[in-house]
Amino acid sequence: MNNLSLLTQSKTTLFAIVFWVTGSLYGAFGTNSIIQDVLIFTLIWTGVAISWNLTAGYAGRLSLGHAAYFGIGAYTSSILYMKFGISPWIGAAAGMFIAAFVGVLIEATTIRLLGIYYSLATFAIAELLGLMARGWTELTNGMAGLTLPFKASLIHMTFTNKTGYFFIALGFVLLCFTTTALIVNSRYGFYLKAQRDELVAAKALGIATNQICIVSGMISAALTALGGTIYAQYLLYIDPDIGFNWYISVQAALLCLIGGMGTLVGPIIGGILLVPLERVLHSLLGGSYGGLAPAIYGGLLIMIVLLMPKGIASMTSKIKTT
Amino acid sequence: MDMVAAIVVAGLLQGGIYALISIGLTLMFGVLRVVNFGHGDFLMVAMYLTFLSVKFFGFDSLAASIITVPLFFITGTILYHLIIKRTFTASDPLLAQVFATVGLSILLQNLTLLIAGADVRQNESQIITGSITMGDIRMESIKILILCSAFVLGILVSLFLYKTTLGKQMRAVAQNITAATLMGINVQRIYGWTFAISCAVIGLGGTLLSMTELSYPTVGLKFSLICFMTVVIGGLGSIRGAILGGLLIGVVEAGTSYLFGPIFSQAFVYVIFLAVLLLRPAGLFGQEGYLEAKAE
Repeated sequence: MNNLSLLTQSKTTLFAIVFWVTGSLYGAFGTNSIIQDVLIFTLIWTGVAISWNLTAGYAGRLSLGHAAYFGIGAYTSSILYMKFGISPWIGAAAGMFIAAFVGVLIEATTIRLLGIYYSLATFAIAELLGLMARGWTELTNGMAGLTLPFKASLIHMTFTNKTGYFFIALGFVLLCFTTTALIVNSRYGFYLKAQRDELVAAKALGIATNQICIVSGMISAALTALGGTIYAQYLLYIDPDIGFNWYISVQAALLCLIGGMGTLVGPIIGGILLVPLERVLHSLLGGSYGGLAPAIYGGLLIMIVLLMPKGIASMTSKIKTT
Repeated sequence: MDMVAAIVVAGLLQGGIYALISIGLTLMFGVLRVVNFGHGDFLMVAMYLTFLSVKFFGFDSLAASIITVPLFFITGTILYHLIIKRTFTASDPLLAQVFATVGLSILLQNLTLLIAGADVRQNESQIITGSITMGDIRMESIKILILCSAFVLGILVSLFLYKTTLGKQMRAVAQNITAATLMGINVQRIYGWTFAISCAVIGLGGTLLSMTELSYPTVGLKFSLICFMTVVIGGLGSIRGAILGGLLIGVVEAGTSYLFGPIFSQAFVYVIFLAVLLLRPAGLFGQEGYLEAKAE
């Protein structure tokens, strides 16, 4: 209920809505492909961050391995498309299914691990899958990566201009947001938060904490994989360094940290603030001062963690209640 | 038979490198449970600092440790007070530590890229050169030096932890922070010292590392991962565990690499790491129950 009031009242939400309404109008009718490019990246990362938020923010399991699911999604659809000519739409569903399966496996085996041990385990699993993508060259073409053919049509999830990708990415974010909002405001959402805050008490009350965590991990994995497919289709290229990059996991976490972990609007606000900033810094400083943009980004991350540990969304809600 | 011996020796020498660079992390993560994802990047900076001092002062690479060790000690103290100390008071200290140090890692990587460029470099010592041949087995002198340094450093750090007052205080804080505070130990001061000492150890490790491994700005992530695996496999809080864990990883890596190729060998190390984490969370050489007592 608190989430609902936050959703309708807070200024940050208003800001987010205004940004996305104007952004959507521009994405739909605008012609400047650079702005559309920024919008698409913002949407994809926001969606991945919302998915990450479901396990990390609500279930309290700090995954550092969401790159694994992202890579699975990107590779599944790309391989099915390249080898068997299967439409990326079906490939996306297959990727989500495989990622969900892997997610259940990972969560079920690591369910006993708490805190940093869970983070390290997920980190190692993502690296392991990245190595698999490097080594299994018959399937993934190794480090050379897979270059997807350009056949513009809706069936192939490939478009001549960026508007099509924009709508797909927008749909992805809406799907992630709706799924998370439905879960969080249901009984299971309260179970999740209960076991996150007081594991022993939640168990004593008869909540099946393990099952709840595994299911939330599964849904999060499937949604992240969808993001991977869209990303691969947008770039029309995928290699192990893109698909299984450790910074995907960090990026998802970063957006949630800035916006506010365990809040519905958190990842969205984080996405609006951070991804355009990153793209602008990158395009302004990328050429002559390689490294300066990400260095600023790293410094920013430290500052945010230390000075605003609960993110922007929680700050505004605190101001409201007091 | 000769082949097996050669692989084991090569593995032990590589393992010596892992052991050496993991000692700093054992102190920080193993003893005090401070998570530092910038560990590998600290090593990377120490490697670059070695090049810089060789270039400016015309030192031998080995002598560059005169500069890196004190500099890292001081930097460690500053970083502790600027960053790490503040993460303890955060609502979720683990989250704050992980992401503040990830931020530090990104910052260090890209500052290095900005200043030194993306070129791959390797250092050479003028004093310790060449290799020693025993039978059919060739051993690089510098790797032998690193293996010996790992043992000596491990013994020194163990002596420090078990014989000196400061070391005993560190272990007391690690075992029970409340009781340690009640005994009049200044916990913040102990954390500060540990972080600084562990940074000094990283400085020494980085200098030696720069003579045998290639360095480039993003090399740190690889070392961070190897060190975390070494510390967890060996057993948290155990210096002996870190050294044995490092040697074990080295030998396993060399063996599987010979049999199945380098990618598989890396994957195999991850699998061992996951298996140890799941089946024996206290690590191979750690004390049973140590982790559980701490996690509670």
